[in-house]
Amino acid sequence: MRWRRKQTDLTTKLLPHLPALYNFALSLAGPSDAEDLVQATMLKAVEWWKQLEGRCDVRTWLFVVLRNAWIDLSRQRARGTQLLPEVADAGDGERMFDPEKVTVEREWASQVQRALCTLPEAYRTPLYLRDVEGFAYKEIAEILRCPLGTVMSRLARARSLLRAQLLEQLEERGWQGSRKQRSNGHHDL
Amino acid sequence: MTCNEFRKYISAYVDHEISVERAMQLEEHVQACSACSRLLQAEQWVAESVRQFYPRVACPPALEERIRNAVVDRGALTRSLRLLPAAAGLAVILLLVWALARTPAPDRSLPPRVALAAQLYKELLKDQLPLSVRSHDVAVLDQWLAEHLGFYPRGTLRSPDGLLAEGAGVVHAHGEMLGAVAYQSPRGAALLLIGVAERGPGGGTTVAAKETAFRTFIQGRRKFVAWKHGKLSYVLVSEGEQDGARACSSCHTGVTSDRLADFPGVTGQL
Repeated sequence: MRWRRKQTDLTTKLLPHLPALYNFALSLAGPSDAEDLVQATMLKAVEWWKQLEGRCDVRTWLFVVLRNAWIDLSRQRARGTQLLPEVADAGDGERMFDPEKVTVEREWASQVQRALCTLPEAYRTPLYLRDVEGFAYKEIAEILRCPLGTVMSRLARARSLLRAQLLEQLEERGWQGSRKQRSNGHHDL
Repeated sequence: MTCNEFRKYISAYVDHEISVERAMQLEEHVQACSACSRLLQAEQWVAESVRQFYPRVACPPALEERIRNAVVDRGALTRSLRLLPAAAGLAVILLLVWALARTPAPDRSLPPRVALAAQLYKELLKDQLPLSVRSHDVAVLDQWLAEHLGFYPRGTLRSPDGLLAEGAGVVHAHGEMLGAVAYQSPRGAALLLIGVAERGPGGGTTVAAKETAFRTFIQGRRKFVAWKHGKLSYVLVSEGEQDGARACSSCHTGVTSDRLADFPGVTGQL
């Protein structure tokens, strides 16, 4: 009976978070470990569901667990973050079909992902949690287990670094307007 | 607001994570500072780029199934672990039962004198006990035993309450001569084996009454009361309840049920 309830909880309460968790795992660990991290997180959630239910935000808790699992894994292997996956095709079908636009968007998406990937984890993760997952600062502080002010300063620094990366890539490709933006950004900073 | 303060709060402003008052201060500054205005545009552009273009990868279809299976396996493992103590307990019980089954039964063999009495009692029940003299008169049996055993104290045998003397005989066993007196009672036959023994039988349940130690042995429905008095040893066999007073009074005329006070400790069952 208890096991059946866990099965039900998994299906109704936890699995809806699976895509977000998987993408977060990809951003942290890359494709080779992402599935293992998500599975470990889900198993832990199933195990602790009785204690969790109604006491905290499940989505935030899942992200905390996944990140902790990734930290443990990184320590065990004593290595850095792996390469991120290639840009996914998911989502293209939802947009208006415009071959030129789609190509440009996919290329830019790849640039954004690559630029984000180059950031140190201390800056990359808060930016991911904010701009990709839409977590509030308070939730990010909870996931990263750091003060709110740290989240704020890391986000500001992360965007500054990312802006430089993106502008550099635009410049390399000769995209229009990049020089002007870069000039503005660097000058002002 | 200075440009440095503006840069400090710009991300929080873009993310709508600052108070209205602070937001108004930033907006006032942007109106007045073109550099910070461009910086704000750049900040919004970066944030929007990530929000809009960061690729979301579709979850592998097999992952959900993999997680479901892992939960099932974990559940099975948890249930197994939950049953582990019970299984271990059962194993211990089975082990104990097995060990007990292998342990040889305690030696329930009767002491030789008691075993001889048991054998004679069986013969008595089968009417195969050789009684040399048959009489209900205890005086006749008393005299006969005194003459044939030699060591029997004359004139002490009496018929105790409920026991009717049937006869007496002499038995040779283990190189010695013993007297056997057969009785009848409403509860069945009884046999008194009388012999010379420097030592009484060991074992059994012992109850001391004055200087006499009564030892009781139970074998099935049969009860053996063995005791030693002086140089004589006695074993009284019966299938009924046998108390110390009756055992004693089968020999000693001075011991009767109304004089149990002389034998404290033997008033109950032996």
